[in-house]
Amino acid sequence: MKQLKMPVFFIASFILFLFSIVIATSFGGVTIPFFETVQVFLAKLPFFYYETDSTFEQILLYIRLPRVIVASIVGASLAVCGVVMQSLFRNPMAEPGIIGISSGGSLGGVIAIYFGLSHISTFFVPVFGFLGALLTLLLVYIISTSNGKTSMLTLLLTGVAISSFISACSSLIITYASYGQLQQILYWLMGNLNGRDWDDVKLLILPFILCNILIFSYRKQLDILLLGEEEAKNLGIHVQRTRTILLISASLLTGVCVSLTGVIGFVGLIVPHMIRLLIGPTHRYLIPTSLIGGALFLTLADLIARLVIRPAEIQIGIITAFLGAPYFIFLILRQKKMEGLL
Amino acid sequence: MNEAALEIQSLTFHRNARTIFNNLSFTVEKGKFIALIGPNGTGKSTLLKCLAGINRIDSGDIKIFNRSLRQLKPLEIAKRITYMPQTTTLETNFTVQQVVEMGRYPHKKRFSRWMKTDQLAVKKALEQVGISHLKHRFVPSLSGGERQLVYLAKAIAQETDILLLDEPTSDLDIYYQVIVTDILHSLVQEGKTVIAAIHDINLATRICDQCIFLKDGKFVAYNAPSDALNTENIAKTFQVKSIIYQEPLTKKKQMMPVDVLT
Repeated sequence: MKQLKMPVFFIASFILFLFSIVIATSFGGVTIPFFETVQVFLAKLPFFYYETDSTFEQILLYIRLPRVIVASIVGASLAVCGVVMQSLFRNPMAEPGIIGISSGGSLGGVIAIYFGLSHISTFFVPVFGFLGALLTLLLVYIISTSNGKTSMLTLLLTGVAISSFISACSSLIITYASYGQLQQILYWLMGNLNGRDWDDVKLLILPFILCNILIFSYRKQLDILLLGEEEAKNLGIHVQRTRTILLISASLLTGVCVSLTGVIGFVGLIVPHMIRLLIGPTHRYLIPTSLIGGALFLTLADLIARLVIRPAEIQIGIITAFLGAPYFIFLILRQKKMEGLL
Repeated sequence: MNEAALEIQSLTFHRNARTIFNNLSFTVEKGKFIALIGPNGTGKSTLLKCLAGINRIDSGDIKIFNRSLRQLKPLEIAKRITYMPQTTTLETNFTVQQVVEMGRYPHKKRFSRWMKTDQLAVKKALEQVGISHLKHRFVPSLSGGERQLVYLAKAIAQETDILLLDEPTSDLDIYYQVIVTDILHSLVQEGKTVIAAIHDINLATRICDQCIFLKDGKFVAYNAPSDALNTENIAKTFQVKSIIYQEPLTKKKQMMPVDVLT
C-alpha cells in the first residue's frame, strides 16, 4: 500500500518544491507579484513569449534565483548526506558533519578570512573551506583504519575528538581576529546564503549530481547495512568498500556545501528523520524524497530568514532550528500515537 | 558417501591473539542436518561465521561444493551459504516483508528490477515459516521469537544450498520449536544442507542426522546422535555427569544431567 502511494507523494512534493521556488523568488526587499514571477521564468523557456519588466528580470534571474537554487542544492545535499551518515553509523543522532567535516570546513574558512585571503579573492574562503573538510576526512579516516578495516565506532569517536580539537583551533584564531574579521568570521560560521550568484551554482552542481548518483546506486546496500555488519557480509556486501565509498562521497558533498555557505545546522539531522517518519526507511524512496524535502526545507527557511526583519536578514541556522524542531516533535508524537493504535 | 557440501581443511582462527580453532578439519555431506552442540563460549557461533565467510580465517581452507571460499567473491558466497544470527539488532522500522526481501540481494544485479521469481521466493519463505500475517508489521515491534522467524524467512528467501543457523529455536515456545524443526527437516528434504547450533541437547540429538560435540574449538564427537550421545561425551564436553536412557515411546536416547564434575 505504501509503495503504491510513493510516486504520487514524490510528484506532489516536487510540484510543491517548484511552487516554493516561485514563492521564494517573488518575495524579498521588493515584492514581485506571483504571476509576473512565473512569467519571467516562463519567458526564459522556449515556446513562451511574455513582455516582462527588465528590473524584475534582473532581480529575479540574477539575484534571487541563484540564491534560491543554492539553498535548494545545499538543503538537498545536506539531507541526503544526513541519510547516508545515519544509516552508515546506524545512529539517529548522526548528521553530515559527524566525523568532523563541518568543523574542518569552518577552520579552513576562518583561516582564509584571518589571513586576509578573502580580500584578495572571494574564492579563497570556499577553497580553504573545502581543503579543511578534505584534510579532516583524511585524518579521521586514516586514524580509524588499521589492517584495511575501519571501525565505525572508532570513526565516530575520532570524529568527535578531532571535531572539538578543530573547533578549539577556530576559537583560538577568532580570539586574535580584528573586529572587522570577527564579523566576517561569525557570519561565515553561522551559515549564510547571502549574495549567492550563478558561479556558486556552477561550483555546486557537478559534485551534487555525481555524489547523488553514487549514493543512490548504493540504496540496497544502505538498507542492508542497517541490519548490521554481519548481516551485510552474510548477504554478500563488501562492507569495507561500500562504507568507504559512501563515507567519502557524503563527506565530500558536505564539504562542498560547508565551504560555500558555512555550517547550516539541523537540516541534515532532521530532514531525514522527517522523511523516514512519513514514508519509511527504504533508501530507494528515502534518498529522492530527502533530496526534495531538504531543498524545500532550506528554501523556505531562507525565505523566512529574508523576510522577518526586512530589509535585514536573520541567520538561516536560527530559522532551520525554529522551524524544524517543533515539526519534528509533532511527527514523533504522531508516530507514538500510531504505534499505540497498532 | 554423498557429495561433500563443505570441506574444512586445517582451519585456524585467532581472535585477539587467542586461538579459537587450531587445525580443525572435517567434512559435511550434502543434504544432512548437522547439530552443533557445546557449552557457551566454545566457538559454535565463531565456527558458523567462519564457514559463512563472515569471519576471515587465518589459515587453512574452506571449500563449498569444491570451490574454495578464498576464491569466491562475497556475492558468490552469499548465493551458496547463509548464516542466521542468534540475536539481531534492528532498530529501524523496516517491515517484515522488507527484511525478508533483503534476502534476495545476492541474486540481484545493481540495477536489475524486482522479478516475479524474487516475489515468489519471498512469498514462499513467509508462508513456509508461517509469518505471512506479520508481513506488514515493523520488525522492531515484534517479540524475540517472531524476529527469529523473520530472519529464518530471510535466510530461506536467500535460496542457498547451505544454511547455518545459530540457535534457531532458542527464543521459541514449543509450538514454534516444532514448526521450525519441521521447516528445517523439509529444507533438508529439498536437498539443502543445514548446520544448526542448538542448546537443547535432547532436542538437537532427536532431530539431527549427525551431531558435533564441540569443546574449546575441538571436536569431541562427530557422529550419528545414537553413537555420539553418551555419558562420556557429555562429561568431556560439558563437565557434567549425566544419565542416558531410552525414552520408552520414541525409543530415542535422552540425556538427563545429574551433577557437575569437578
